[in-house]
Amino acid sequence: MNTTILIWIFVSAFLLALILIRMADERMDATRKKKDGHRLKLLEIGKEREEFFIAGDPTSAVIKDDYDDIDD
Amino acid sequence: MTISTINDPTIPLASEDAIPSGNSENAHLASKEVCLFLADYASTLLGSGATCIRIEKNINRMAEVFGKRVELTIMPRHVHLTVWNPKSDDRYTSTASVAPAPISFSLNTRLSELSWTVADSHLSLDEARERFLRIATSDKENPWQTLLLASLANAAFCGIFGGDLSAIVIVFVATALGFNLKQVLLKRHFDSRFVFFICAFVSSVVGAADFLFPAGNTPAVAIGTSVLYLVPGIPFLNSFNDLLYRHYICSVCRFIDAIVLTGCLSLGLCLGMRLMNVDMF
Repeated sequence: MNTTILIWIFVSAFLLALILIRMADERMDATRKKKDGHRLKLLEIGKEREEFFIAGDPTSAVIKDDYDDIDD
Repeated sequence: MTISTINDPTIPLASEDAIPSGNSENAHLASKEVCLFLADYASTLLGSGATCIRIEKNINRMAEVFGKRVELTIMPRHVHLTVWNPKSDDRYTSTASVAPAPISFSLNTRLSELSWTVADSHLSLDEARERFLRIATSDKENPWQTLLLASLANAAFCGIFGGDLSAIVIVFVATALGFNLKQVLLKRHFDSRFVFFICAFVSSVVGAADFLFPAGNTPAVAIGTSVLYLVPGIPFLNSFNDLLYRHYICSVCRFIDAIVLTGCLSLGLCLGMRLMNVDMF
């Protein structure tokens, strides 16, 4: 398979995936908003607290003062 | 710089008595309120892609109803407004920045309608402000509808330029995929020049499908029209309109903006054609 076709397939697949992810994301977002108003993200940068999260810990939504995140 | 004295001081205003001029503090406050409202209105209208002459006329129309005179300076990214009461010396000046927003004909039309409603129904300032906020915050077009209509329009262009059925289908798909990428990137506040470049590139790559997998007889039309949705037609038209009404700075800035975007589009298209080994020239 030559390079041109590979580039075409890669670009087309990327764009197709993007439009499908956007559709799915919006659908999930709408469903989630109807349920409890929280938005589920596919990828996100979490806080340090969430790195060591153990089931049962209070979530960052409950505790606002995440002192570990302060950089001196 | 475009400076226009919107109201001719020699012509009496229709409702000069609308604002009490006896109390200078009240008059100043009234001028301030009117000025802030008109500055917000003008900057929103400018951001939605209105021409300078439309902004001038709309502001003029409303200022007259509020019993004020206005001097307006329209810069490419700012609006500078001075409002004063003809019966007193107090003036109020405000500068508003234009919020980076996509061009919206709907917002443009509804804001112009508001100015006519203010003029015809003699709305109070509070009511006008309330309606303005409602219009400015509720102008949410369905992005999927826009995407579908833009894709159909671009496919129709392909048909007009002599593309066959396979070219029309390819252009529809290339536009839909490229336009989706454009919406995603602009929503994330990417630089518009980068967005134009990358969207032109991906649309031309997808539009080259007819070259790679020959199904029709007009692959050149397909690749050529696959990027037409990116052509900055409104900035070009607005630039020409501003030129006619001697708003030279705005005209030149809009023209340069449009030229830069067209350059980015061309670079993306050339890169796409180069990578797809399409030799049209």
